[in-house]
Amino acid sequence: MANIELKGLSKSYGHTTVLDALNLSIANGDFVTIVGPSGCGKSTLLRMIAGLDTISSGHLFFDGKIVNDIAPKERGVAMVFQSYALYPHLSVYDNVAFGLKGRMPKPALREKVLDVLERLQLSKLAKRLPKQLSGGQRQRVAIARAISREPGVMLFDEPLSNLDAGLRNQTRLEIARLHRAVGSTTIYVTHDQAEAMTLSDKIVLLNGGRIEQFGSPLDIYRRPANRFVAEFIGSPKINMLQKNEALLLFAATPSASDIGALGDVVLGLRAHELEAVPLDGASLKARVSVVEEYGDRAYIYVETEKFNTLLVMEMTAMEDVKVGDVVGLAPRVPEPLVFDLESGARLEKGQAA
Amino acid sequence: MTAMRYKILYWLTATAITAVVLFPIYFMFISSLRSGAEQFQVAYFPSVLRLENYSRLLTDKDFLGALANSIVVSTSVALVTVMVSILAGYAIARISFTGRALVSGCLLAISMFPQVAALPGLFNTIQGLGLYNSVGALIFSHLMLTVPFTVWVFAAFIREIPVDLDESAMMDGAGRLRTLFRIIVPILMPAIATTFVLAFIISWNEFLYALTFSLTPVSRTVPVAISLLSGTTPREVPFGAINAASVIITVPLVIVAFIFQKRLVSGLSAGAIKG
Repeated sequence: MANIELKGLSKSYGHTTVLDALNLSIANGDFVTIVGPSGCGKSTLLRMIAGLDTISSGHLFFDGKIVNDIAPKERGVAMVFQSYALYPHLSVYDNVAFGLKGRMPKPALREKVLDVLERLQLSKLAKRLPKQLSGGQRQRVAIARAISREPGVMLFDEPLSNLDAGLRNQTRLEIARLHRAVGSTTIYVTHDQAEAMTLSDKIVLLNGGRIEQFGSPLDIYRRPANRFVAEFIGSPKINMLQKNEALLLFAATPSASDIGALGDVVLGLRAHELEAVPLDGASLKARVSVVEEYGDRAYIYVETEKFNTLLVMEMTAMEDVKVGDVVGLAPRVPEPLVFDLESGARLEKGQAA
Repeated sequence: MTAMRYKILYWLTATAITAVVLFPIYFMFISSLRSGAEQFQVAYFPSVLRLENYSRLLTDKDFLGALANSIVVSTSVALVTVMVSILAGYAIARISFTGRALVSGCLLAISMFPQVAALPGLFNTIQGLGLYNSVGALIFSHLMLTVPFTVWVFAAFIREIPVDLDESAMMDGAGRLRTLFRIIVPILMPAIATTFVLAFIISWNEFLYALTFSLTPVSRTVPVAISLLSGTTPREVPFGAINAASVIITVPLVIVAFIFQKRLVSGLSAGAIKG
């Protein structure tokens, strides 16, 4: 177990700064996910914590001790690689045993390995070589190898990205279960926001080498720090309205005057915060352009000449809407998220733009 | 019908190529079983089995000495080549150090040098080291032929192995050497076998350096010994003995190739990554 602290942690290659003075504090036993668009530096950050990449400046603390120059093996970290990186010439048993050799007497090692294999339902595969395993089984071996050393910190680098959708959900559950059982501080890099939302205690949203927001999944979803976070988290993507557009939408509600009083802002409304209403009496009408049917719900994309972009809204499967239909639009919530037009920062109610 | 025709064509071609490749060896073999004037009559099958060429060679102390020298030199060259190229190849492929590009560029350039170009310098070096006319001189000079190329080959093979494996071993607490010998070397076995055989053959067949750096039977290898085989009169070229000697020195190569054959054809790193 370990808590991890980053103080002004930076990484640069020549004049290119990949990570820019990150400050972060991860509590002992937390499951923290690092998400962000490709090239935001999330894998680099993970590799720096692992000790595989050097730290250009700043400090990395494990339990209050600086570990900048300490080798990976002495940091008490274990890592699951995106490619699994199993040793191809060693059996499943020996893959798991490799990191334990020389750390404990043989009988204890054997017991330990068998125990870990049992835990990941790999006992029957102990003698197989990696090439004789399916993708999901290889993934489990990689996880078994990582937890066998009872690391204080577990690192995952996009571990599910090579699995098919069904297996990905199942493995996601297993990782969550395992984390609860093992209790290691876990840092998990992904570009999949569903993984980030469902697995984490805390999410770090990284963009362009900076931390945009660090908070619990719900906090990030409900109270995004800025426009980038709001647009990155949540599927489908949040609707962003210009002020005049929002005024049209909220015309019939008490919020209209509040919105009118705002300065230069953009306003965010998620798909489920919009609804289709009967045409008569609707303050805004729009034409259905695309329907995405999921069975239990549908997302419809609507367009109107008054708006620059398509709006997406969620509908229940009951509502029968076809492409080309005209529907009335209304907000389902009293007020949208408000972002400063220039800085993108989210504004609390009553905070001037 | 076309499949049948394809098959026939395939077998015709294969037979022709095999015949062309094997005929000299076959001819060498039957010639080694003849003696004296019989050599100069064209015949494709041995009439009488005469082993006198072989018995002459196998009782010739100098030839046996040369054979022993060849085995010592080639085996040492092959072993040292493999050892050095594993270490150097790994360093060039995985460890970033100042001058890495220069070193690997030089290695490639050197391996393309004509052999003669290195002769004068090598001669001085060997004199300076006091190795002239010793087995050591031959091992040393043959390493000049094999190592630059094989280091290059190993570096290329190691670059093909996902670096994740090294990093994974590092996370598992293995240092550089343990990673190299426990993870990389086992994966590289096919390349190691190939390199071993290659270095062995190069050293086994090498003539120019062997001739230049040896003076007496103490350090002579078989290719040089064969060139020095003489007949009963100065005018006679002892073809029978030469052919028998050629047969004798082909055998170890065939044995080495057979030992490593399975390794030579097996796959490189199946199952290492997602695949």
